[in-house]
Amino acid sequence: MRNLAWEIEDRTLVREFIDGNEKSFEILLYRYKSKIYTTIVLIVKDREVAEDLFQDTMVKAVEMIRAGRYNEEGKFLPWVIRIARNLAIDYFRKEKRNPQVRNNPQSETSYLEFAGSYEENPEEKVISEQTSRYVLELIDKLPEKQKEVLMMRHYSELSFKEISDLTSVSINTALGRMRYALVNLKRMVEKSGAEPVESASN
Amino acid sequence: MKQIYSESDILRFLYDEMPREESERFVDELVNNQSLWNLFEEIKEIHDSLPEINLEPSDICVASILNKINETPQPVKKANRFSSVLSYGLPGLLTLIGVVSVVFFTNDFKSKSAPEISNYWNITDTHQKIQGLKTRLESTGDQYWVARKIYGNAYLLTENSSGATKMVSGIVNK
Repeated sequence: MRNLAWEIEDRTLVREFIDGNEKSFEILLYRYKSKIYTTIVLIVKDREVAEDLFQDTMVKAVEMIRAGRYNEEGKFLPWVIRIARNLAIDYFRKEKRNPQVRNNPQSETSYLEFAGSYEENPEEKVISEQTSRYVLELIDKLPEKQKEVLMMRHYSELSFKEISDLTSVSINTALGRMRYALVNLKRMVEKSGAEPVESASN
Repeated sequence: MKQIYSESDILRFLYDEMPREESERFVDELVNNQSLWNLFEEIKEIHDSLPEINLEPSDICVASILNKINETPQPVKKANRFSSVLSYGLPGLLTLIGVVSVVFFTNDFKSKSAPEISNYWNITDTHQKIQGLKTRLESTGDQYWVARKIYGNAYLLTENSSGATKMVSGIVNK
């Protein structure tokens, strides 16, 4: 859960940046770069492309703040995630229409690194990483809206309320999609190859 | 009425989005409700199996962003009519208000220092000859009130606008 004091400070930092203190934006950048970047990587599945999109996201955020298009009522992280998500989805759609040939094609999950596991045994560590990649591949097979909620809640750490605002659905719908996402993951793990169940609101 | 908890409530609890009081009631229910506990364990198991992913952009990427932000010029703030009024009109308005206040205050003070005898009962020359009365009458705007204060319930010897008079008793002795 994000620290409430941090959120109050976010508003102050944005205000200071608007008043001309560029250091304030730097603090925000360092605070949230991991979450924003992770969100983009999980959508586009390519770290190089994600870095370009991450740059585009932050530059666009700055332009919008300076142009007076940042709504102080909204929180900073969900606002930036929305920009990142839109840019990443636009890229993904263009890529699907005109796929680019890459010099170093990446495997499905090779773009991912996992947080350090507690296993000291290298063998166990390898198994743990393989399991993680497997689960991520299953997440990728979820229905789009369920995957989106799961990614935003679990990896971007947005609240269900923020997700519901971002995706223009009720909180109950967002919770329902998350519930179905987890249920479907379990079904897929238990019966490998089983088709995921779509919720009524999907 | 006993609350019935759903899978959505379990998710809110797992992701720390339940208010504290509700969390405490939820935990009480978990302990005493086996079917809720089974459901909670099932969802928690899947939740715990989700791998941790914590990716960082490269330092070059971050540096590039900061360079671009510093290069992008700050837009010149457009002077809008409202801000122009505030910056130029307000001091003028305040000055005008100050001048008008001074004028009114001065006039008002003058009128108080030299009050006109406009009350119904006029003070006669006889009263004014009594020592100190004239001074007191001049220092206050309410001459009639001063006269009544000095003479108590005595009537003033006055002549009102229609020529009627009232006798003052004991005024000379006082």
